[in-house]
Amino acid sequence: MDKYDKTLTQLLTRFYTNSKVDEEVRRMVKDIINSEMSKLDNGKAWGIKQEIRSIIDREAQLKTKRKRK
Amino acid sequence: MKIASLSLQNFKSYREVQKIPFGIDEKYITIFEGQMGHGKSNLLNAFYWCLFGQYWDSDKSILIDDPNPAEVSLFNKGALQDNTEDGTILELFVEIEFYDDEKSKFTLRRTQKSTYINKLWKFENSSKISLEKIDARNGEYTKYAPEEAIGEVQKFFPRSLSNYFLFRGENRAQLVKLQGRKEFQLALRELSKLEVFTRTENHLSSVLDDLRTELAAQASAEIKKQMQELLENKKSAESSKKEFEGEVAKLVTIENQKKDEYEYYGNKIKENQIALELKLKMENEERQVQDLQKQIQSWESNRQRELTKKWVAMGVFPLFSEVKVKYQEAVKSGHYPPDISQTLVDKILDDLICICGTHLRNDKKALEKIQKLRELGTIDTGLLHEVEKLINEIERGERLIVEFPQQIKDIDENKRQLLSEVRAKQLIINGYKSKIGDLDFSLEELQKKQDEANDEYIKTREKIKELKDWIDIKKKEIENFETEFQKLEDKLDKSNLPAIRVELAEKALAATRELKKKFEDSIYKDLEKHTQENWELLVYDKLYYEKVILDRESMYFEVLDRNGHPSRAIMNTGHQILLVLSFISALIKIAKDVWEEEFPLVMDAPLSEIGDSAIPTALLGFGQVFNQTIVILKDGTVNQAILNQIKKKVGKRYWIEFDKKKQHSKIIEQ
Repeated sequence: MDKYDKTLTQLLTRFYTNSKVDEEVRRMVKDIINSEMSKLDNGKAWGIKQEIRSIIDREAQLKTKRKRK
Repeated sequence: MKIASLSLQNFKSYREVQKIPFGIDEKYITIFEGQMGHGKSNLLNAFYWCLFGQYWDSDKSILIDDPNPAEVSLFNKGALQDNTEDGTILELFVEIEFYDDEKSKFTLRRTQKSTYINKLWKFENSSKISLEKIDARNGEYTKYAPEEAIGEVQKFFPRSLSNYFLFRGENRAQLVKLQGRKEFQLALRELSKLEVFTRTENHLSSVLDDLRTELAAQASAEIKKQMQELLENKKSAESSKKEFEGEVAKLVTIENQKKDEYEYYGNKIKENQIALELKLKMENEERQVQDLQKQIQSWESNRQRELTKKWVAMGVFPLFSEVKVKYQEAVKSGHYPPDISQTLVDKILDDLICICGTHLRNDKKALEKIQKLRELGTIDTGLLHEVEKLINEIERGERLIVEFPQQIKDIDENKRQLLSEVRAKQLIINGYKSKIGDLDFSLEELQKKQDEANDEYIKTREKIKELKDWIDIKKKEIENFETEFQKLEDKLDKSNLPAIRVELAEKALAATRELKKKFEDSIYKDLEKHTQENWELLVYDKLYYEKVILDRESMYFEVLDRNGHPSRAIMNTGHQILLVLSFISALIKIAKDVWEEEFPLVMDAPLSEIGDSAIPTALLGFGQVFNQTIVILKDGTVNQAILNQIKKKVGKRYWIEFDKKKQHSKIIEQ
């Protein structure tokens, strides 16, 4: 793992565990960035917007459910 | 990695097979010297071609990918001209041997063939590469397939960095471009994971727009209308912004071109002015030659005169002696002066007049007395004195004859000295002629072109400024959109799904932007820090250029003076080059952190604008950033004083000599 991989991992880890940021936002960003990374590693970008939309939708559904309760 | 050697054949001016080992480890500097036009810069192209299949066209200032030998003269001209038998196959190759940091040895070879058919050379469409590896740990031999080889080489020599560690120092504009936005961003992207954030931001932003459109569709008629209008306006602002940005990118290219042109004509004018100065100097030398030639002619006639005089004196010398003897005999006889016979007096006088006639004839008084002597047959004291004077003349004649060889020798020596001065001046004149031979003297025309380029540059810059102002306006419109849209969102029921989606997407986008900024900052901070460190290392005398900072907007480095004022614009060329080199070194440090591999630095004419006193500091400083430094000098040879300071680090030193007959640049180790 090179220096900037480490910097990136540290930056993301700090963000993912930052209690000041809403949990659902941290979860969304984590999943979106992971999706982007995996697309980048495979050299393909197809379907990424769909994936992002599903991630947001998932969180929105959860939030709606929470509100209903 | 370290580059152990470069071998080549039939490439550009290198016709015969040659292998050039480079200085490594403690003696990490390799220097190439040679006169202009002898093939030094072709070596840099050998690196470009072998490592990346690229060719640097210095006339057009462009880097060509996969150069076509029919358009770019890759093959040696002599080899092409001398092998015109039908069916002849000519192959050119460049081979680089290098070691990775684990000391495994790699041999990378790029070749291209050409066949002579029907009185024409048919070149292969593309070059071929091969890569072999001998593992340092177990001695295992691996031969890579061509497609694998490209990927493997990319690991060691990333193409995005080719502009950086293969360094062209031909002109300032090119150097400055090295930290320009596009190249810089490409290199940074390749060096880091910055791309992840850029893509995430773009994709999320696009998804958010879709979600907002869906939200608007479900709102009440009035809000729906307002939202759709806002979305339309945003879309239009974004599209205008994009258009303006595209326009700016084009104009920046033109701006750089005009800057280059301005610099080019400036250099041309400088060259022409130098040529004019040389011409004046040459004319002065020619005048001096003419003066010297006149002096030679004068010495030549002196010599002739002296010779004639001396030969005459030698011829009449026996006569002198005879006159002297007769006179002495007459005096001894006691009859002289009163009884001396008229015949004898006549004889003496005739002889004397014959010998020293001019002298006597010019002296009327003496002549009168002699006439009197002739008439009276007597002599007085005055006449005796005259006769004595004539005797002295005789003695002078004798002395002249004795001194004659020395005088002629002196004249000859003077003439020789003058001739050698003439020859030296002729050499200087020929030198001047060859230097100014290719230049025209249409200074006015050049000046006009330079002014035109400057006008265009200023106009373009103004246009760019105008467009940037428009971009700022559009940015503000987009920002305002966010506030306005939020206001409308607040009017809606936030508990429904479309509103929640939009809210979440907005938060995710804001968080991503924040993360991107933080990540960029960490890289830019490193770049700034390394550039500052290298600036301290490479610069002999910082003068008042204290602090290096990276302007995040323009992606250019600025240098602040002690009072914190920007001072890059007033920097001299030498410092500007060292600033770019400091930045390149910083980029290479980052590359070293990412690749965990050390990089060599190959530089063509990098130090031409740097003062002699600053060169050793720069060359020794490179040793602390790069593990190896290969320097191709611009012209001539390295100054002895500089060499003395760096010689402990110089592993190899080569002289390049072009043989016109063979069309071959020979590399001679010194």
